[in-house]
Amino acid sequence: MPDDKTVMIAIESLAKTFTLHLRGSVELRVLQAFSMQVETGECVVLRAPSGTGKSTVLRSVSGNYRIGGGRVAVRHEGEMVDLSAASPRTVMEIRRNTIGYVSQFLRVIPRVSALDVVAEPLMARGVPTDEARERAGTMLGRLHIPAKMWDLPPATFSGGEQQRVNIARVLAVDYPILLLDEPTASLDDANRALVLDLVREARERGAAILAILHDEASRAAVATRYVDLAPLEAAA
Amino acid sequence: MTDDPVLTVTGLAKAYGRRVACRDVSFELWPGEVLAVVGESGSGKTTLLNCLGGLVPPDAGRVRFRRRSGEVIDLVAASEALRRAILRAEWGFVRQNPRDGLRFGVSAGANVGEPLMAIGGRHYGHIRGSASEWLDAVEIDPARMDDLPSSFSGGMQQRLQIARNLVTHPAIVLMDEPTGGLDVSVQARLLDLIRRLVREAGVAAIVVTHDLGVARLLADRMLVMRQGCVVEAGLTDQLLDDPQHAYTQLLVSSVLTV
Ligand SMILES: Nc1ncnc2c1ncn2[C@@H]1O[C@H](COP(=O)(O)OP(=O)(O)OP(=O)(O)O)[C@@H](O)[C@H]1O
Ligand SMILES: [Mg+2]
Repeated sequence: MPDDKTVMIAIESLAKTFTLHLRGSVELRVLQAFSMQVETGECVVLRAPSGTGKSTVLRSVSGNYRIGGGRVAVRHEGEMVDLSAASPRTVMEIRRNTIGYVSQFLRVIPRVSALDVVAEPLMARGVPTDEARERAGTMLGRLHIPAKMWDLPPATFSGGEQQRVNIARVLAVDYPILLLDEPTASLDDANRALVLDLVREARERGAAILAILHDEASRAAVATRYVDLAPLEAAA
Repeated sequence: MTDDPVLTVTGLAKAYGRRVACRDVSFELWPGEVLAVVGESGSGKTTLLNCLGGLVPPDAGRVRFRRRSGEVIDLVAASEALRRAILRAEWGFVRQNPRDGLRFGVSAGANVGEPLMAIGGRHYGHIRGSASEWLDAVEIDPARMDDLPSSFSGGMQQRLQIARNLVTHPAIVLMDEPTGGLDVSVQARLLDLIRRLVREAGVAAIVVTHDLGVARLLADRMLVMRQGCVVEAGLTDQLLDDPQHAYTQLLVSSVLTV
């Protein structure tokens, strides 16, 4: 575990308003003046009532949502990169090498096997096919996806199985930054414990983790710190 | 991966009489990248592709292509002969209708072998060998090498077009609605194949589609076109999940799930 803490995610005065053009251009203000940081070796759990904007924060850091206002910077290859100014190509590179994002639902790709779904990000980083598939298999094994399912596309898997494939895909790579949006939401106790072990291991190797976890037991198992996101009306 | 784009398009415009099909379209494309062009029918997607692919002369704009040799050429300003030679050797174009992209009078094997001969391949055995490998790569039984394309299903014809266009190892491949007109299961197979081959070949691709699901699956970046103009451009998932422009929001809201 690296002992000199380094800021990996810096969110300064993040704002996000959605303009719904199809509904008379109504403006939905979700985030305003939200600031926080995450350092190496931390697992910060973001807390707030449903609908407050927790996922919006994670999606903004992952580049999935456009930065509405303020600044979000992530450390990519040693340098803090400002996401609102980064080109799409830079964001793609950050996703390939720096940020692992577990969304709540797996987007299944028709005809691609579970093993290849998991091996893909490794291969995109230049890991040779055989090694990537071996590491993918190890990770699926650790998440108790039986080997007989590895060659099947996850489309027909149960919700919990798809969620574990989704997690394996991200945790098979040692990303410096992890964004986890309810990674244990559809899992039973045994599988939840497996996932939380992996998250703890990632933290111990020095990953900077920003997570949304709704149950108290999961939070207690991995969090090093909590950040509360205030609903906008309360903040105003 | 290099830092220079393989293609830089600036201010591309095309009108048919008073009807503007493409207006001031600009974008860059990097090696190995997949760019989707989406928009409703009539929004200028195919015109854009045809201008890039040399089928239609643009009224204005530049299409600067970085050749394998490193030399950068504006294909719009280049002589007809040079443009044709470059497109033949370093580009591929998978057409919406296999009738436009294949030669129906010759065998499947010849359809794949011809582009190699066109760029100077002479050894019959090697050409037949490559054709056979590419048929296999697009999941067509090489035993059907001597069959005519007309004996193939629509999905097989599209796969044959893909083989014909990738056999020369192009730097850029243009695809116009590659899965249009195919039923859903055939589409899924074709998409998976395109995804894999484009990645393995490291080729940059521009895929025109009206199907946002296809864009989500294949493309790194996306251009949204409306009435000949690019209204929004960016990362595919960002445009689909956080669309800014009213027209993009309309497109996204018009489909069940993307
Ligand atoms: N792409 C979008 N377009 C429009 N509105 C959005 C979009 N994404 C999120 N919102 C809105 O922003 C608000 C915050 O949503 P978000 O998903 O971030 O909440 P959350 O805190 O993660 O909630 P939960 O705990 O229920 O997952 C909600 O009102 C939601 O409807
Ligand atoms: Mg959420």
